[in-house]
Amino acid sequence: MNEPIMKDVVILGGGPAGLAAALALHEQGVRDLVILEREPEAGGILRQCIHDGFGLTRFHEALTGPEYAKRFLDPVRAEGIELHTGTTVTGLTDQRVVTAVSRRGLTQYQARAVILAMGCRERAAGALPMYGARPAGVFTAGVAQAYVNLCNNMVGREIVILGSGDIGLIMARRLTLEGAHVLGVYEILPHPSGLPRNVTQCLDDFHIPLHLSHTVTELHGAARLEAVTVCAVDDQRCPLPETARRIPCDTLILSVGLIPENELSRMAGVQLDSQTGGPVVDQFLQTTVPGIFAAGNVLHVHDVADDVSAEAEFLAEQVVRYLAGPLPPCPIAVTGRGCGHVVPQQLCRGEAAVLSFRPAAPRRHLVVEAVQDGQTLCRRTIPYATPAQMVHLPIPDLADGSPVEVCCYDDENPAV
Amino acid sequence: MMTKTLLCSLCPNCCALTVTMEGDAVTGCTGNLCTQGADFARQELTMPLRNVTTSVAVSGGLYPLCSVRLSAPIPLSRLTEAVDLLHGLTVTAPVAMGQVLLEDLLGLGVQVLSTRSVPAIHFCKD
Ligand SMILES: Cc1cc2nc3c(=O)[nH]c(=O)nc-3n(C[C@H](O)[C@H](O)[C@H](O)COP(=O)(O)OP(=O)(O)OC[C@H]3O[C@@H](n4cnc5c(N)ncnc54)[C@H](O)[C@@H]3O)c2cc1C
Ligand code: SF4
Repeated sequence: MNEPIMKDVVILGGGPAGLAAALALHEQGVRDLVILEREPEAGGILRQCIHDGFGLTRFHEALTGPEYAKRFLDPVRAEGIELHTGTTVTGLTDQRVVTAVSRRGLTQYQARAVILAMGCRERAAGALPMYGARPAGVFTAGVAQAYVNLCNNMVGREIVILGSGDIGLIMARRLTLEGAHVLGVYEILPHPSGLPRNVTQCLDDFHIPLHLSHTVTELHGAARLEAVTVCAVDDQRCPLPETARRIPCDTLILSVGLIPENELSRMAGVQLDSQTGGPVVDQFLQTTVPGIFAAGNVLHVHDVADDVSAEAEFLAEQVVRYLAGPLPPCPIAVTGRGCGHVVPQQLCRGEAAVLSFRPAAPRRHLVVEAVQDGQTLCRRTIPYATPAQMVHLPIPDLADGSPVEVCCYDDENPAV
Repeated sequence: MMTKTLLCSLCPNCCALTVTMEGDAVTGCTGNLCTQGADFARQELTMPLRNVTTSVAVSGGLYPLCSVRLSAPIPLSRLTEAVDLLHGLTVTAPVAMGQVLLEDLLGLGVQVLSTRSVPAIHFCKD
């Protein structure tokens, strides 16, 4: 193989995170950079999201996924930023050597900084406790979305959806509009996982029933799915066998969560957070391996693309600083109470930061505070918060080096 | 008099609105943190509006489908009719993003816009 190609920055993934990071770097004078994208076109998951609702924060317009992606792709092309599609990154080392495979063969880059922007993948059937056969007709929501929206292939006629994440809700509407009969959406939690707007516009508008505290326990069928068994669950999420019902259907769509795609990060020895599934990062979005940074769904799952773009632009500023010299050390650990996880996990002294997290359950009048040594550093009250919407909390610069805890509780019931 | 509850979906505050109605008219709204909530409730309970995003068939294109949306939302009651009409539509490649594919959908005064570009493919005839 030839000598590695030297680059200031190599960006792994050309979704909204990779594109926004590249543009921001270019604007700030970093010209020696390349985006590597596995698919034949850049744009990431947005290519198949033909519904609208993207860009509300950033552009104050309800754009569809491809339209949102174009707002970044056009300037990337116009500025002549190096972008290789059909190029899969297969290797990454802690010395920032990137190996990529494409039709042109194998290419290696030696980067001064690497940006992880590989997005996430969907949790599939194998990860779920379902008995019975493994017939055809079981799809993850994103795969069904790609079949219907990109390939013009219908996935089935009589459809059950497991999980009420936004993608599942969007697909309930999409499949109904395409002439399928969506029998119902089953959600193991006592509350919907998706945004309230999507519950109204994707289910209620089409009279699709939402069964909370329910799950699918068994698949039936030989070659093709013929039915599923659904069960109510108790408050420990254990199925109650006496409530089991058999529902004839030919298709089961799974919308049961996304997993950040971190095989490459692991290869480079980047430490991962068991709660986010993404890398542990400091407030500059640098991972535990110096010079390797992460933004977007590979870091933690985002609900809105606007947030991904903003995070990637913030990251670009930090990479520019890094290229000029090392970033300050971040020894201060951050933990959460009443929220699933907090990103970033490490803070430095003397520089303000923004923390992102999700409340554990839907809450009215959510109070969020950051506490250090028993002292409240900052506090915010949010009229309504759900796990479906990420919360951001700006915190002031820290003088002290002891750990920071983020606490979420509602006004009436202080945190336990 | 009748009361109805709904969630305002205009912003992430997601206010829980309680609305009083006399017949078809909205007479009061509580629970909204801002005035837009009352307007939202009136619209949702009298004539809900929705945009439509779906795909139309393309002939002679690199892809079989072109995704579309409407230039403005239409009444929810006309949505099925609109989708049926769009499913019967075939456009000819090339299609540019933002191209108007239908001028006046169902006489509602809204346009059908393409949301992706589909290049034409040229077959060799020999
Ligand atoms: C189905 C669905 C519906 C959504 N709906 C909305 C919505 O209505 N509104 C909204 O604002 N947001 C929505 N979102 C969220 C938003 O789209 C995502 O948060 C955003 O796309 C994440 O951007 P990303 O760049 O981190 O990841 P992605 O978009 O997943 O991009 C990652 C890219 O990296 C590439 N890649 C991965 N591994 C490699 C490798 N080894 N080598 C090379 N390339 C690689 C992938 O091919 C992909 O192009 C939705 C998300 C999904 C999945
Ligand atoms: S009423 Fe106002 S503040 Fe409340 S959700 Fe609607 S727009 Fe937001």
